[in-house]
Amino acid sequence: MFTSEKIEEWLQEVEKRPGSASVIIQFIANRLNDLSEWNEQLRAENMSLRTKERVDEYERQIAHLQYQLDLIKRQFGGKLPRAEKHETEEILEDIQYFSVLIYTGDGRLARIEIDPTDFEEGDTIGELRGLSFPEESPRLLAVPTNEELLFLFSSGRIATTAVAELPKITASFNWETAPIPNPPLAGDSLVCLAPISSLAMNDYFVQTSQRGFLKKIRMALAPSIMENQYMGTGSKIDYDYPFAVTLCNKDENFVLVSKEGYLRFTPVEVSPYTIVEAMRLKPTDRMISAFKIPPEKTLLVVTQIGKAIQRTGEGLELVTDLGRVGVALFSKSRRDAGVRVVGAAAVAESDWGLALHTNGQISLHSISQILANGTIPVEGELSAFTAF
Amino acid sequence: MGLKVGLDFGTSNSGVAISDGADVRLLPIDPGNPIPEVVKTILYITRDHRSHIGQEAIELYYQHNVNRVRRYEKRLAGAVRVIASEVDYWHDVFVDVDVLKPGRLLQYLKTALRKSGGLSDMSGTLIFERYFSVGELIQFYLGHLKRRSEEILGESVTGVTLGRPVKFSEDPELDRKAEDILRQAAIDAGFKEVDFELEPIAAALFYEKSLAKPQTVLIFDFGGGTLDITVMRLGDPGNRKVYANGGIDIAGADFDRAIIEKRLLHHFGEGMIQHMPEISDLIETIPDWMALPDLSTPVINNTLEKAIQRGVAPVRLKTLQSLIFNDLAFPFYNQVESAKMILSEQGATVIELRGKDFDLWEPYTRTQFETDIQEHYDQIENVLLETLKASSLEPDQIDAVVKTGGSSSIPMFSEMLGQIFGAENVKESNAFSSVTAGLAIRASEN
Repeated sequence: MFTSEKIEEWLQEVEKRPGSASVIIQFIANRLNDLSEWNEQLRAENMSLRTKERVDEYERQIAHLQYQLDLIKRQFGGKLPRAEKHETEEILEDIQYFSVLIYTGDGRLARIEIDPTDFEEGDTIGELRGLSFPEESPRLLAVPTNEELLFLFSSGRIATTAVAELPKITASFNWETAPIPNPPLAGDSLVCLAPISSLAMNDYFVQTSQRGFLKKIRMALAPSIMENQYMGTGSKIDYDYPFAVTLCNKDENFVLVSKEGYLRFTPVEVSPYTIVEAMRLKPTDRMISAFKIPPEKTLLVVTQIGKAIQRTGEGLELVTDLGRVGVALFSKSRRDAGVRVVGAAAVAESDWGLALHTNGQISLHSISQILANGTIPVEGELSAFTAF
Repeated sequence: MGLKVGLDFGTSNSGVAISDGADVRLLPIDPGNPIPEVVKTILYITRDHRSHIGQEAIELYYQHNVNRVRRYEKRLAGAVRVIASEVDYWHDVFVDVDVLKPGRLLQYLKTALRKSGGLSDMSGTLIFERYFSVGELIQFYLGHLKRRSEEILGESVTGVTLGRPVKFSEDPELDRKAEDILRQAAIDAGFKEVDFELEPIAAALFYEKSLAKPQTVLIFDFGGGTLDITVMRLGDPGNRKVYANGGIDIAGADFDRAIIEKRLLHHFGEGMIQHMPEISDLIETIPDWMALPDLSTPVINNTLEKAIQRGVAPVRLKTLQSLIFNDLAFPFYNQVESAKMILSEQGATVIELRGKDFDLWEPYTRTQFETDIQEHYDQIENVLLETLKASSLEPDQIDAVVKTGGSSSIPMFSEMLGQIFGAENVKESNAFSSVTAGLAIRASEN
């Protein structure tokens, strides 16, 4: 506050030392400049408040926070506040169950619910009939039944659905009759499902494309992504489309694995916000797995003949520069002989592995057994592999 | 047999030097400080009871504390016995403890030796559930200085000549006790041989190095905690004579306090709060920076929050809340001190600090500063004239007035000395290191 007493004191200073006048004027001019800028910001804010623009924005933020709270409650066993969904609540009480999800680009999705404590090494948990295996194999995911899933489509569109709300199928099932819970739009295809119940506890979405492009998106943008149901494709070249989206924290490391057996291991922190080529792929190659790897877990890669390749922390070279060819997981001769990767995952010995065979059989294997034997027993070939 | 150094344990700044009798070497104890030979007398103790000093302490404090998360838990502090006409029972007393507090910053350790109340009662303080006496805290600080000196010199340092003010206290008993605590702290820090020299005399010994012939000088050692004055004959080391010593415990820290009290409290709601004594008390505590961190309790936060919600000077009280709960006390006092120092060079400055809910901007001129410390000026002038009188010398018998210490650069005191002794006789010694250098000279003589 510029009181008359203060101004009088400044004048006394100037009378004693005239050189102080320019210093005082400069200070006041700087302050007036700052105040003028703040005034403009406050007036703009005031206008937003009067036009209710800000109210709408806060309501959107509140809605998103409410959504995140629902996800967290579900993850930690709390009941959803949606009282009308009695069926869902009943299912949510059994939070120890896992759901195995098999899905294809046309949106078909089969959910088999399992209790891992009831199964043993090598058990078949399901058999899908009528499942064809074109160039692009069906994808496999295992998540707790209390998870929330984000459906990412090739156009960059997204949708969200609780796992428990997806229809369950019987162990033996004809793929032709599989439900399509979130149908793709014309020209669109389903590219991945991503568990997102820990949305609030992560810093970024990391989005990868089939051709090895990558970008990260700040979690602060999650409200607008969820509201607009659009995340973007994460690709910038022709004939490329999204492959995966993963929730990550800035201090975590991220792994990309290609079908022809190349690997890239990179810190999330140095990953770019813009779309860049993270791993250079040959024209015939494409991504097969993209996930984060906690320090206590090891990397397990499985080929179509069931061969398991393990990489521990020491064997993984952390790469911070982009656009390089990845590290080869097996020799050129084996690659030329047709060896291909069907899946990779971050695993601990106590985890379970899930293999989808080309005959439609889905088998469950203890990771400790896979690591001990170095292989998964296969009749024919594997189509996909994941772990949980 | 190890080396012996001179160590100036100052209120605001400290330093270590060594002398071989001919040359003095000031040791670069604090590489992080703009002047590495000067180390701030600041101690930061972390939750694991590790201690840090100087610039490292400041940087860690900022890193750990600014905008940090707090979590309070009720802890049993003790019990109070209640005895009334028909009752006699024990009542448990709980206090709110911030369990996430990463460390405690301590400054003005030397002041704690000489003043009473709070930490300064010569007894000590509780830091993370462990009691530390003032002597222990000083021991930590001196221990760091000793270790760093040994690293620089590459040899063991076993002896020290410590500086001390002319009077720690007007009370001779407290004065003796303060010196005893300082001596024991030095011994506990690992020094085997400990002796003392008065700080102004140390400054005189350094000045003596520059003399070609004997002179009668008045040393005006004006630092962060005390003003110490010595009148003595110098120039012939075999025939040095002290005519008089004097001093007063007024110095830089008191000027900072005056600036806050007279110019800045209105930013925190002074004059705008009525009928709320608990908030008025908070505002009055602001000049006492050692007390401020203890105010960050949930009870005080609730009191402020309620007042803000009721619309009682909401912007000012939000500023007060931010000062207390965003750990802005240290940068705030630093800004005040910096403004004071700038006014020694120019006529006007701005005391400015911005943070979350905090926008302090106060233009401040040298004229205002001189008005604010006029009362202290008068007391200092009295002490100066009394010391001169005690020396039985007249002003024109003083060949030179040597001023040292950070506060001696304040123009109104240079002018005071000039008016009494003649401006041409007022000499400026190294403001921050002349005492340290003189103590090294004394150490080499003992």
